[in-house]
Amino acid sequence: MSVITIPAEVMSRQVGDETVILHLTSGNYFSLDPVGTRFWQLLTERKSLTAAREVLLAEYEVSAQQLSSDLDRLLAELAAGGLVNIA
Amino acid sequence: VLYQTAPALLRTEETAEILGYAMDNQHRFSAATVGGDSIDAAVRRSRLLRDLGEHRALVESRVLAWVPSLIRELRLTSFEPTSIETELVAHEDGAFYQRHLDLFTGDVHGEYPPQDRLISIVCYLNREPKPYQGGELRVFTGLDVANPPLDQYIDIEPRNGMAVAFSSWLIHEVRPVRCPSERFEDARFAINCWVLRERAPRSHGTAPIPARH
Repeated sequence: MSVITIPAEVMSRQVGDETVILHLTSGNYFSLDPVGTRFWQLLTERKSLTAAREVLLAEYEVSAQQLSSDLDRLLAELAAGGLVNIA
Repeated sequence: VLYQTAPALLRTEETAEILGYAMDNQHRFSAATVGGDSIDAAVRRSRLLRDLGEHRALVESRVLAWVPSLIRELRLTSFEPTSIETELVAHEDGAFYQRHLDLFTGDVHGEYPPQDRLISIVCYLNREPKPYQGGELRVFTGLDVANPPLDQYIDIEPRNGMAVAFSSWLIHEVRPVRCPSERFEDARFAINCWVLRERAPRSHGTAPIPARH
């Protein structure tokens, strides 16, 4: 099971229902839509990937397969920017 | 929420004391710098004094007391401040500061250990009645950190004793100041404060890639 952590040098700020994430060292940044924002919020609450997925499944009308696919793609993008660590 | 205001972070008698300090130390103000230590009058035109003297403790205590509420209201990632950086800035007639953000990304030179500016706070000071026009703080509201839409902004009018706080990576600018008397004491004064956090050691597994700006 993957463990997702947010590096200490990553800061986020929420604007309305969207979120901007910034990597302080590289200057790399990323914007999240409302669903991504909810996922990020769950990560900042140190929820596991499994727990976060269950919360999102309960809150949004989406199939488990679609959600998993979307989250995998989002995590890959975040990881590529150094905005999360996946272990 | 993009910014927070404190209508009276400093009381009128406190702002008067600090303005008096500015007058007494006018000769110590020097041209404001950009990007660390270079002077570019096309980007930033103002004069500043980094030494707030005995007033620093007051400003610092007010700012630190405000920080927990700011982190909550601005919905910032929670952090413990490690120090406060301050400067006293005079925007005289014709002064301005073009669009910029306060955060230095990449390698931070100077102090060790390096610290990042996470919250910017501007506290305004002026004689009454306000002797200048303009000088509004313009904050750009778009989500794109590097290239916000230039037609999406909010202008905040400075008022004596009022403070504005925002994330240091919010793009903002100081609109041109018009000060008919052209006297130093009639300038738009502000105390700029930055809430700093010591930069964390680079985490394992991060692979910095070029910023998208």
